[in-house]
Amino acid sequence: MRRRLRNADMLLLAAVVLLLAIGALVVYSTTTATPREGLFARHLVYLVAGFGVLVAAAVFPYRYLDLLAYPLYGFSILLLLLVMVIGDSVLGGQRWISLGPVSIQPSELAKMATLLVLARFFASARSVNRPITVLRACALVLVPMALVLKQPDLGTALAFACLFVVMLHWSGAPLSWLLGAGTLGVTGLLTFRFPALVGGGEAVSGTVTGGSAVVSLFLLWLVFLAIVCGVLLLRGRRRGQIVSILALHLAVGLASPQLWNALEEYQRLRVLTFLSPDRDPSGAGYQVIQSKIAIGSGALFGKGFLQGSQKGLAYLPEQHTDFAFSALGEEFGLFGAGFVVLLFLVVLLRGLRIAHLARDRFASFLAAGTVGLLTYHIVVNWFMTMGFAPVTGLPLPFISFGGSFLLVTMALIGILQGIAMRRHTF
Amino acid sequence: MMGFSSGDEARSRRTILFAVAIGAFFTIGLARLVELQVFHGSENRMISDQNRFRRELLRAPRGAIRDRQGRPLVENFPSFTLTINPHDASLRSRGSLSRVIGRISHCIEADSAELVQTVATAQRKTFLPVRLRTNLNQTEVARIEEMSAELPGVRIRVEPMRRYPHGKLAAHLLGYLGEISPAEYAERQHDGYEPDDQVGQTAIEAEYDSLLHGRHGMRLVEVDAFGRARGASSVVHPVPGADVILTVDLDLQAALESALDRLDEIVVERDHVGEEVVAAAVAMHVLTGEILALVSRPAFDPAAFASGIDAATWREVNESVNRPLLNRVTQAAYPPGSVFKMAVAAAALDSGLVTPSTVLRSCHGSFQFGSRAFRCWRDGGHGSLDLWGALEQSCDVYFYSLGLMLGVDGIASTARTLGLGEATGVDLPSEAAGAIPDSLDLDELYGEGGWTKGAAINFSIGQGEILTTPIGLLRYTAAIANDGHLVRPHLLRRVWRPERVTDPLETEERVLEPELARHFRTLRAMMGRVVEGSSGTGRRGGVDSLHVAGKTGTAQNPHGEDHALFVSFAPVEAPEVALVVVVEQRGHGGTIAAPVAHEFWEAYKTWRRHHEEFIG
Repeated sequence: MRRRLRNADMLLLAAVVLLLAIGALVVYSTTTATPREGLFARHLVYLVAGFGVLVAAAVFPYRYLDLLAYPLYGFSILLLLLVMVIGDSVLGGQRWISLGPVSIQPSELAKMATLLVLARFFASARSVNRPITVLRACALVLVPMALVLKQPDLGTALAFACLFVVMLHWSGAPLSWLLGAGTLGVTGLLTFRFPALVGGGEAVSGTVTGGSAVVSLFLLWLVFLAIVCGVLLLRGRRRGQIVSILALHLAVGLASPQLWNALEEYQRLRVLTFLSPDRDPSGAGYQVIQSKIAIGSGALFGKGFLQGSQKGLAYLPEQHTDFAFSALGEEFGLFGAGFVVLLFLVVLLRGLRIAHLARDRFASFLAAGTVGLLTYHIVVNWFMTMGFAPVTGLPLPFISFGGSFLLVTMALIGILQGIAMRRHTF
Repeated sequence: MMGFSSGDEARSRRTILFAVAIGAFFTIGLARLVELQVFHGSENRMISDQNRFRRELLRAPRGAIRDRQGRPLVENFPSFTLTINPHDASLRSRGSLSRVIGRISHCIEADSAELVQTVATAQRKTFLPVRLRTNLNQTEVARIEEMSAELPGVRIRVEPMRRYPHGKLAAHLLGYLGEISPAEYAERQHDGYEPDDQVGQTAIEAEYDSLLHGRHGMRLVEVDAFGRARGASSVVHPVPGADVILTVDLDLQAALESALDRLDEIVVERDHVGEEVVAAAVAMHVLTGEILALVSRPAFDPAAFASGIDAATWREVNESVNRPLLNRVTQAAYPPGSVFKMAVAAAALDSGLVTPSTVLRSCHGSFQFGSRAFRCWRDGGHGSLDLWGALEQSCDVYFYSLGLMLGVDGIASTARTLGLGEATGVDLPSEAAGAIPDSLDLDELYGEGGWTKGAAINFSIGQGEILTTPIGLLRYTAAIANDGHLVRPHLLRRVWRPERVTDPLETEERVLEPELARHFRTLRAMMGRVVEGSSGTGRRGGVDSLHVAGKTGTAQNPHGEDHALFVSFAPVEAPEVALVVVVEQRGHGGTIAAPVAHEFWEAYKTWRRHHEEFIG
């Protein structure tokens, strides 16, 4: 046991503790003397519970997680189906199940379960170079992802996609596959707005940009496809291969407008607002504009703890959760925010190191996936507050106000530590 | 260490690639952070300090409540509200807020300490500007406008306020407004409610709040350091609340209210002249369940709540002996007294124990059961009667005999079938159910064997543990009038949104067994005799040229004088409307409640001449 403790990653732990301390300051600053007074005390309770979860997850031998993977996965799928039926509606999405005083968010559990299942799958997969292996892994991800998307929770759904890409990469898939997946993503981005532009009326109010936009987007897509073709030809791919790749692009191009139609109006608005934030300065774009002003106004040294003025003006209604980073930037400036970013980097790179040094394949995939999930949440939330990503409602790990997400994050850190602690035991 | 299938070099490469990807994201992020905080830092600081957006709530006007012909019962009028935004930049320096509040207190002649307290409390509840005073008068508006340069963060806005063109009329069915409670706000904030919203607290205002409320809009105005608007503003227009059209008719409502208000004039009995009238009266279309008039006494003034009620007035209203806020039609339960006799008669006919012409033991003024004597209301007795005569003259002794034959359960099961002792489902909040106990309930109440068959004797004249609400009695009377349909009494006729009219709401009803309902025609004829027969107890409820049928009730009240009840419907031959009148602590149903019904039926006679479509 002592030897295991010696193997624990103290640098990782220190970075996490520091981040949590700074997070507590931010939560205090954004809730005190506001209608949210009292949330700070609850945050402290979550912190204590979070450390309990961390220790428990670290002590728990991870090889049993291997056995738990599929049952947990099945259970979380069941919960996701259940939440569609009986879930409480929070902010327009069915995401929560109430169990007396506690409400749980099945999509959080599904994220963990999918991580375990993918780690187990890739750890035991014979050859990842066969397309059938990739397709089966893809199916494992798509089921929970589709259910989460249906809730609808775009941000969390994309976390599954990110997890899949990371795991595929970790399994040693050639770089060209990842690039290929990337080009498919670009096709999706270029085509998803076609119905909004053509159909006009059925889309979000104010999105009709006229037929010329459709034409220019369509041309852009054709040019992009031509470039992809050119690259494939230059690399000497066979004609059949190129045709099937183009067919794949065409399929995505036809499917992505359907996905767009499946989105709720407020989600479309958020994506469109992201593409041009000044379109709607009172709605979703408003939060981002105010968040950018808040961060920017912090300048080098910040306005000082509790001195942020943006929060008091009702400019940032979700500042203790989704927009915690903007409060950080406003009150602590570039030095404070930069320090936090550095701490995040320490957490992720130490996690990567644990994944690299893990003593078996399952542990290695588990650690890599964990790092992938953490990276996704940190980057998406951080970029969102700076206007570089759409508003998705994802909290910032360690910093945002508690809730089940804090507990999940601490469990992930605990799993990482557990893997680190056991790396020399045979 | 266990080996992987791929070599060490490949493993290092994938780790490095992952690290590079993370590093790339962080580089982009840091660059953006530097851009925002260093290159645009001072610019953003300036925007944050000086040029701010002011978010103005555009309140959706609350929908009106109208009578069945579209005439307003409650509407809105524009009123001036004084607000202050304590988060305003120019109020942030120490002491400036209290200075500004000091100046305001002069303008509106208010205690400045109290205003400071208001702001402090509200500030913890909302980021929105705080309401200091509603319904400002012209002088106050002028004074504030004059000083506006010295009052940063202070604004006068026009807000729609409730107006009651008919005063206290229909107060109990309209209900009143009050500020949303924190708990309710937490529940409804995602439906577009604001923490300082006025929401319905009772009755229609509460029941249909989500229809009446509408959706607030918002205007975003870019302002400079002095609060002056500059830059473009963007607007989300408010969606006004829908108008709610009630089934109630203003004329009939007014007639029924006036009848109760003139109670002292219209009754012959002079014992209680000058006392406050405590009463409930309600009229309903017997086929559809549409409520035409609903009155509870004493009434309250809903306008007192519209501009925020002060603590003293609230206490006075709420703790007044006769509880004016209580809607006695749906929230009070009374022993029905002889009004219950139709249920007992129906049970007896249904079970085949008697026919309408069965003569039972002759009435000599009392009924001996064991060692107890149960009295008939008429000391001299009624002599020999059949069921017709017993109902017409409300002979208690006849019904005592029926009660003993039927037993507690025989009475209870028929009364429950007729919908008594349960809530009717009327669209008003907090409806009382009343109670029709059976033998199991009595066992529970008094222990097995703790009660005697004498309970059935009490039940047979609607006394004992039996309790009914006026609305329950109304539905029961209507079911007799409409051949056995337990309709759902309701007040909502349709909803008027600016863009469309919603069709009348579907209302469910329960149809009684034909074996029971086939006796209702006889019961109706008997009730006709109560009003028009030579020795009927309800003769004072009748009117010329409209055949009214009814039943009187006099409920013993252990706390004082008897309650007077009268249920009726008209016309007997093709019933259209049923009416229930209950007057507390005034005496006999025939002398106190029936005259109120008489006034109503007089008004109804005139009304139906102009509303033939209603009769069809």
